[in-house]
Amino acid sequence: MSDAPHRDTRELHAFRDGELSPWRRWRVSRRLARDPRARRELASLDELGVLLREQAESAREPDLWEGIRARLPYAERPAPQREPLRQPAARAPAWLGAAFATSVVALVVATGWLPGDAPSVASVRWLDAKGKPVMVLRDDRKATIIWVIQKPKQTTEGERDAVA
Amino acid sequence: MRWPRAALALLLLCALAAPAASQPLVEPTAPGAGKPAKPRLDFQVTVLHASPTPGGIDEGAKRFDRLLRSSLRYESLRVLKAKQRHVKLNEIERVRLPTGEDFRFRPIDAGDRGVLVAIDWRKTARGDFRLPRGKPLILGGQPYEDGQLVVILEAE
Repeated sequence: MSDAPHRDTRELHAFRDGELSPWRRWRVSRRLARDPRARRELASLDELGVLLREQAESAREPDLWEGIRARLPYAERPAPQREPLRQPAARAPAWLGAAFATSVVALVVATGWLPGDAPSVASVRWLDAKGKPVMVLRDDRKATIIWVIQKPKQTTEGERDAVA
Repeated sequence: MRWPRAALALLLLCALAAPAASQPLVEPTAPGAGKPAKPRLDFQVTVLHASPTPGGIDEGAKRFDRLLRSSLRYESLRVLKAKQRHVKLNEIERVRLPTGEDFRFRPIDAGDRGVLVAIDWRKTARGDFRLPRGKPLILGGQPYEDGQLVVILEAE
């Protein structure tokens, strides 16, 4: 059985991908000029390529980070020099990525005795943000700051009156 | 020498049961003393509104502004509510927030290293936190008006 059709198809693939030598490219161009079936095959290869690219685009994970960062109420100014601890460790991108990758964050911080009987300063024993992204911005001797990222919601007059 | 399995199991059972049998299930109370009273703990709950609208920092919020300023972006910080609460151990206390939701907390344990408190901020977060005296727990992020609510719990 002849291998010619397969060879022709492979050649068309290579032609489409620009992988042929100038001489073979010229030969395929000539074949395309006189063979309508070869032109149809090349057109179908083009369609297939477009389809595959579209599928790859739709399968790609949406990048939510820009939207989340816009809602993050971070100060953009640098932390004061005199208190370097004010710069929270949570600003590291890897930390943020981990925080947003999980819908529920459970933090278990060791609060037992540290070696040398030094008490732990961490306050967070466990934390559940009910599926929302959450960040522990700070947990040191001075304060524990926890921020839950939530979409803005309209507060009704009735709700405000009920509280007042 | 090979011990029968039943003998080994019995030995293990005795080893496990001995400490339990030697300890009373209920802590003995001194004769004449009544039921030990649960200690009352003092908490301060402050509710702030951090807003991107310029408006200054309330006098009562300046202390928290110093803690928050480097981490968060806002133009005004207003005190919406400041409450003192005296709570017994394992008693649930609640503070009504301007959103209409409750901020609930329950002290679980008190010791040298502070008070262990379980917190439930409805629709926002819950968890357990150890609060040493003078170290505020600042929870924020719930949208309110044009900004966000910040709830601060301190053990006094």
